[in-house]
Order: sequence, then C-alpha cells, then structure tokens
Amino acid sequence: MKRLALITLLALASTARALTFIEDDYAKATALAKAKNIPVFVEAWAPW
Amino acid sequence: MRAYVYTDKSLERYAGRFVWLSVNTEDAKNAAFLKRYPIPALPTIVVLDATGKVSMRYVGGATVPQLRRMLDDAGHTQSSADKLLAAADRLASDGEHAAAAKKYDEAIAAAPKGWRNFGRAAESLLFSLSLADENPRCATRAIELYPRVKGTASAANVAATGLSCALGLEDRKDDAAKLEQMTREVFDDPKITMSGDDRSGLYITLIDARDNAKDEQGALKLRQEWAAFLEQSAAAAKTPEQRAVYDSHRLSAYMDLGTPEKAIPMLEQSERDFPKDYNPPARLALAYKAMKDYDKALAASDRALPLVYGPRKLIVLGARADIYVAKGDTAAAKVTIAQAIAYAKSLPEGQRSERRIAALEKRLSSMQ
Repeated sequence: MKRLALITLLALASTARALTFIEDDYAKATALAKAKNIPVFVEAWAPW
Repeated sequence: MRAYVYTDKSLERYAGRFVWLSVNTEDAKNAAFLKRYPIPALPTIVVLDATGKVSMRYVGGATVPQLRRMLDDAGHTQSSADKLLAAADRLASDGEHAAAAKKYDEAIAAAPKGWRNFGRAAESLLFSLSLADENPRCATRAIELYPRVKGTASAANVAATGLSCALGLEDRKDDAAKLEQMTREVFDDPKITMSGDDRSGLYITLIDARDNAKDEQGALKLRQEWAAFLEQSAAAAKTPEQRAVYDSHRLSAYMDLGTPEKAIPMLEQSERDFPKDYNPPARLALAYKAMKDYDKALAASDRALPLVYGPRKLIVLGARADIYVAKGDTAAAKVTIAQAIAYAKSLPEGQRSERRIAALEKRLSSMQ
C-alpha cells in the first residue's frame, strides 16, 4: 500500500472539467457555502 | 480522477448543489486547511457542511458511479448507520484512526439490509485499521467483509487493502493466501468497473503478494503483464493528461523489469506536453539514475527543482542525493540533504512534518 500510495497520481489541472472548482481558496469556498447554505465538496489532490 | 472522472458530463447536474473546492496539498496556501483537515493519502474527497463540519470523507479514487452516489448521499444521514458512518468519517478526518475504525465497525453492525453505503464503510474501516497499524484485524475484517462487497466497486479496495495488511504478518500466511485469491477474483471480474490506474494498483498488490511468497517466476509474469497493460492503457488515452496518468506506473514497471530506458521516450513527451510540471524531469532523473547515467540524471533533476514546491520537493531532493551517492559524490549528497532539511523546516504548519525532518537529519548524520 505504501508503494501504491507513492505512485498514486493525478493528471494536470488543465483538463476540461464538468464542474467549476475554486482553486486553493478555502476561505472563499466556505464563505460562499455559508451564503448559499450548501455544502462544500473538497477534492484534495497533488500534482504527482 | 482529474483526467477521467471530473470531466464526466453526468456530474454537471450536481454543479449548483455544492461549492466545489480543489485543494492542492503541495501548495502552502492550503496549509491552514490541511492543519484542520489532515489528508493521509491522495486523492481524498471531503464534504463539509455549511459550518465546516465533515459530513462525508472518502480516501481513494472513485469511479463516476461511486462519486454520483456519494454526491446523492452527502448530508442525507437518514439511518443510524448513516449517522455512525458520518461520525466515523469525522474521527478519520481528525486523524483518530483507531477510534474511527471502531465507529466504522459500529456503522457496519448497524447497517440495514441493502445499505448503499456499505462498501464505502467497509473500505474506510480497512483503511483506518491500516493507518492505526492494526494489520491483523485489518486482514481478518477484510476476509469477513469481502463476501458482502463481492462483485461491487468496493471489492477491489477491500481485498487489496486486506492483502496489503496481511503481507506484513509472518503468522498470517493463510489469510494472505485467501486475500490474494479474493484480489485475483476482483481482478478477473469483467463486470467490475475500475479505472486504469486502480487496476494498475491491483497489479502492484498482486506482485507484492508473489514477491512475498518468493515466487520469482509468478512475480515476473505479472510484471510483464502489468507493463503491457499500462502500455495499452496509455495508447488508448484520449488526451495528453490521460496518457500522463500512466507515466509513474510505467516507470515503476520498467524499473522493476530492469528496463528503465523504456521510460525515456514517454517522459520526454510528457516534459514537452507539460513544461511547467516537475514530474516528467523528476521521473527522468530516476530513470537515468537506474541506467547509471548520472550526468543526465542530475541534468533532469536540475530541470525539476525550479518547478517543484511543497513537501514533494523533499522527495526530489532526496532522489538527487541518491544520484550523488550512486555517483560516489558523498559531499554533494550531504549538501543536498542539508538543503532538504532547511526546506523541510521552512514549510508551514499543516505541511511541515517533524517525522520527515527527523528522518532527513538521521540520513545526514549517517553519511560518512
């Protein structure tokens, strides 16, 4: 599993996506969630 | 998931139901988030309610149908099992892995017939047990739970996580054999939808099992199949992003097979396709080191270092030190590890790891 975790990888951010993500701005996302009273979906990833 | 899942048009209907946040765990801007919500492995999905409380968490790559189910269920804790699962997810998010495992077990015990979250609960239980170093129980629970997830997308993680837990245990050879058979069953089931990189992960676990059994021929055959599978998957990719998903897997396979030179053309292509990404030159450095071409390895490392940031920079510096060691230049290796220590200490809370700093300091002190 350690080895699997090491090589688990994700492709790059330039891929066309069906959803519009706020990039790396937790404060903005939570403020928006409070204003709209909806949950935040968080995708944690890394470029590796 | 970025290359294959979030691009799926069927997810557009969820657009207005959530605020969508992408967190690059290597970026220092996310240190405060990471301090509050530690991420043990990638990818991880977390759903927070409007007050910031964790209502759902899943570690691992999800398929489109799995993700749709999570999005449908997020925030809808109807049964007692759902409530226990949400509580377990919160404990897991707090890094309380042993307590989370107990709560996942309670959720599973309370599961109504046909509970749609059963698979996710089973996967999360085993992951928490492995993080809590409860490997014997992880193996036992995997064997018990597998029949209940057999034929579903969760079967792969249940069998493979259980197998990985069992492989480290000298007194659990029989359990390892059972779990290897289960993992193989998932692997051979054409009805189970699995991403290419998840299937590659199953190959890795099955190869580990053959290595553990000291079955050299069996392991070699699997490695050859693995490399061929990855080449076919990369050839079928529709975009450069999708093709690059397989780069690190292919590099591992080629290095295992003693043919690192096979990785060079694909990595050079990725370096051309993604000139701002540190990964292709960092991987080229590994391939050239394996080929004992240390000058080219260092040149590739030179190209990777200005592009890499965050905790991953420590991996690239560590690999650079390995190249110097292999080249016989201990003085340069020591300087590189000293740079890594200074960088590790400069990382903000949430990214800084005392354990990682201690390991680097130990490495430096062991260098003659």
